[in-house]
Amino acid sequence: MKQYALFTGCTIKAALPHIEMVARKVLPLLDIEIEELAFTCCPNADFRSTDEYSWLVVAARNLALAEKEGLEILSLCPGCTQTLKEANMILKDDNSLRARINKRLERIGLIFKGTTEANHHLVILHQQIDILIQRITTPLYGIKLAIHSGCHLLMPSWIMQFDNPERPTKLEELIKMLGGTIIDYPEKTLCCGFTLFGSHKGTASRIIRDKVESAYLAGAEAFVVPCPSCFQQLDRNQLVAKRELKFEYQLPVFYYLQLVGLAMGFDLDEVGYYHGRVRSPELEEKIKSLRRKEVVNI
Amino acid sequence: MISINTELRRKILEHNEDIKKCYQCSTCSASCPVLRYDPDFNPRILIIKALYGSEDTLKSKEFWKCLSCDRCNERCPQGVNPYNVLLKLKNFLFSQNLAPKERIDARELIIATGFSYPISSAVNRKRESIELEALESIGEELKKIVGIEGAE
Ligand code: SF4
Ligand code: SF4
Repeated sequence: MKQYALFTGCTIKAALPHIEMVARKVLPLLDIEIEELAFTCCPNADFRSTDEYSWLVVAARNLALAEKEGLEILSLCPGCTQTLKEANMILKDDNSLRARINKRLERIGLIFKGTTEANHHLVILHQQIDILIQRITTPLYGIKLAIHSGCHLLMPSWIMQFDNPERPTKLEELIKMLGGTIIDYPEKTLCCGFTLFGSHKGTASRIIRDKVESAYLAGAEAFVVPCPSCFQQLDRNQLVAKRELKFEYQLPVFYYLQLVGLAMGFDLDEVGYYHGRVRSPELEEKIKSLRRKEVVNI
Repeated sequence: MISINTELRRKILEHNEDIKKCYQCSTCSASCPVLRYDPDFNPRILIIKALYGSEDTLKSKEFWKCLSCDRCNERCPQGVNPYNVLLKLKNFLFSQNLAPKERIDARELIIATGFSYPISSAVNRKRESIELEALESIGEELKKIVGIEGAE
């Protein structure tokens, strides 16, 4: 068992708690022990757009909390991961900036030393892929999945250092491990457009439509995402876009760990599937019948 | 006529010498998901205006549309990091009290509670219904450490 500080992130905590639930269920079964620390918002890109210095200070506080416990950070959100990795890199590289930021942290009894790392859980799971393989009991044979890797798991590549952002393959490998079938589709690398949804709904809806249409016409039965913002955009907001632009098709969305849960033998309810807004009765049947076959085989 | 704001120009160049390397190739614009759907938003043009310190830039609401996707940073052949240039512009606007109200409110929420989402009783009911602990505001802690650089 390796111990990590769990960085859940605000979006999952407040808007998609079922993802936190599935992470807490699945990660310990993959030999990952998780600790809860008093983390705040990472903080996000909107916060950074007002004042990068405070963005660094708050990120440094989060990193310092993990350092104090001697833990590395395991994150559930690519956006949080990017903030923490970038801030960590900036502060490790710049002695004078680090000293100034530490003056602020002193006020709350913390210090940033640069002794921890933050990673998205996919990066960590990819490093211990053999453990993942051993735990699979109900492979997702025949489930056709469109991968949406999103932006911050991959970019900027010199900070994220995980996969090629133009031709990402790591998430694909992780899904093949679960037995799922990958459906390639033309709009695979298009950003989900999440942050435009609040301010420019029309633009965001057209992005969603193109994404869903492209994956649907390629034959996908569902999306799989590593990111809570992409999840919200392709789930809840997909229904809004569908109403506004009147398209016919729809695709449910899985967060990667939900699929891991299914492949480890949990059922749709146990992995929080019914908390999603977009449903597909055909796919649900298909997943249930996989499980029945498995029971018969045993 | 272009009017130049020298303070803006200085601020932008201060930590961002690389912006001078922009040769206006438009790779950023061709890669930008916002521009693909909304041609009023054009990172290449925003970059050249920023480089001049054009007053025009400050009046434009366009760059708040950026999705922070980082694709332009990834692809720019000159290492300009267009996304980071847009961040500098937004920071400048915030320091001049010219940021949109939503951004300021979103910032204040994080400083006041530690979270970017309001922690309502509905949120906590939902969490408790799936056996997760309720969220609690972080209180005063962030107030003690945030604030723009130099404003100690
Ligand atoms: S910022 Fe980079 S990609 Fe954009 S126009 Fe300038 S050189 Fe080209
Ligand atoms: S970071 Fe912003 S400007 Fe750059 S490509 Fe993405 S949306 Fe366009």
